[in-house]
Amino acid sequence: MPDEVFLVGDSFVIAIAQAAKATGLGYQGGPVSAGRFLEEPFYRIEQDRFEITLEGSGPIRPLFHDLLRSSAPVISTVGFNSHRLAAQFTALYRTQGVAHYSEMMSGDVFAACVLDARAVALEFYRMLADAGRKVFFTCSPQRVPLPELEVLREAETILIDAVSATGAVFLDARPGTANAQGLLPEFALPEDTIHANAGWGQIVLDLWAARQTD
Amino acid sequence: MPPEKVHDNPYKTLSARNFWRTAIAESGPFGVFGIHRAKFRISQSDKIVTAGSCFAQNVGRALQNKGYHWFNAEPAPQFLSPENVRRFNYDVFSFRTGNIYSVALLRQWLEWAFGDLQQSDEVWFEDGRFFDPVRPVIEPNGFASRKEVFDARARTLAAIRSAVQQAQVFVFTLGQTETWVNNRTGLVYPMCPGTQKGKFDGGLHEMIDFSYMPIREDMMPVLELLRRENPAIKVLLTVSPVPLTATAKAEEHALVANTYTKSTLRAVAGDMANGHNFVDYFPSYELLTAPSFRGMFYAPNARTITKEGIDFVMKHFFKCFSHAEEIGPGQEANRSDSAADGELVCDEMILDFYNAG
Repeated sequence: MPDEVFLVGDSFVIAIAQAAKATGLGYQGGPVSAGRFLEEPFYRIEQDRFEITLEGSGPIRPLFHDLLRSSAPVISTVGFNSHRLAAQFTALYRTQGVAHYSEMMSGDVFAACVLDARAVALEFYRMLADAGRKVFFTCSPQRVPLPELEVLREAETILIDAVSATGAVFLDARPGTANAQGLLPEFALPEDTIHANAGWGQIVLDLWAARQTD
Repeated sequence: MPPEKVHDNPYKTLSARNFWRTAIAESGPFGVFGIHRAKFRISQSDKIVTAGSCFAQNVGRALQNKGYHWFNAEPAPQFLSPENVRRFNYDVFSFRTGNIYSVALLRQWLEWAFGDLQQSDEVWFEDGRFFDPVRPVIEPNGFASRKEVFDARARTLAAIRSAVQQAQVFVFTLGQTETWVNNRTGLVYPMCPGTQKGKFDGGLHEMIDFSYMPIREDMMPVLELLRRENPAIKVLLTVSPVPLTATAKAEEHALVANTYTKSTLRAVAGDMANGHNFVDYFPSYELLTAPSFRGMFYAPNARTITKEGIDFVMKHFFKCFSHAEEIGPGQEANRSDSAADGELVCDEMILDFYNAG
């Protein structure tokens, strides 16, 4: 089993990094940015060097230079800031006076909306696959208002399928860490309505470890 | 005996635009002037609805580019990329009907929308997907269920109602006389079943090459319905200059069939305009097909109208109908960023993570 992973993604990666640190698992990388900045192009490839291009990211750029060169398996949350999508769709529902996307568009159009909104993330996963990297990904453990949870899950399902199609392996931490209301309180940071704690991060690493024998 | 004096006659008082030599032959293709005297003007604040054959798509686009209020009653979801907006046939016409080539099909859509006619429940099933026979390619892979077909159609019918009731101008481009129908139910199709989707059944699917009277008989109720729902609406008819892709009449040459189609449609459109003060006919067809233009606005396939042709027609269109000076294209719509605030906490967390070493 590898003794190191390469972490990349939004702020939810922090919980995984903390879990890795606590258990002595080595890691490279870390969180790149808030998820919304990963919705637009955020990197370029120079030869085989991965270069973050986000404004203000200068100090952390070297941490990701080896993303394509490293042999450590990648664990990513890129693209799974689904709470933003859920909030955007819920706002649209309100303005249109509907309760579900199916009152406004077909399932295919909804799927296209989701994939378009995460086009940069999908390109990122395709790029990693083309570089021959072994990639695992997980959903950021969103805690959203209940009315947003349904569309969040629907969007996640579409995105999970699309990312899986690039060859990346999904680590589904939701069973056991979430219920119909979202992330269980014991896996959430205290005094933070959004983010998960290292306990959740450990679940992700356990799922990853279990896949090493596949 | 002195030579007989030329008597006064109606032609003596006519202007240069009335004579072929001065209006066309000597003016040259780009010197055509006064092609049409519009019955009404269109202001940039007027809501303009476009429907019809593919040429109407160009009209809608040109109106938008000139800053006119092309009324999109069934816009694409804001999250969809431009590529997918096209794939899913949004923003093509004012509502998502796809091409409406025939007057019979327009009548069917309108009567469904306003409850004058009960909708057909025919749905095509192919490779596990469901297709709407009145717009079989509106979604590239069809719909997931029969319910989705009718839900989507209900949205389009609602958009039609909204468009008709709010519009100041309804632009319709007549495209075809050859129309495929279901001879048992009377359902009018936009194209022959089996050509793109569906399965052709020779006993069920029949091509009717509508002549002048039946088209007129479809057009009259269309105009009545539009005015019933919106007494102030103006109707602007055009005939598509795009020739038929093919004729279904095996005995007939495509050119001959096309001439029949276009001349019949042109006659109906002209008579509707002559007979109603709220209906006008804009001669885009003539502007592209007259001998003096020598087919210069057609692509090498002798069918597609070039961008230059569209620009040429629309220049005349705006000259005829516009009130005001042209303005530039409209501002792009603002995209929602309502969820951004919720992520401020993420930025702080990331800074903390790296600060902690």
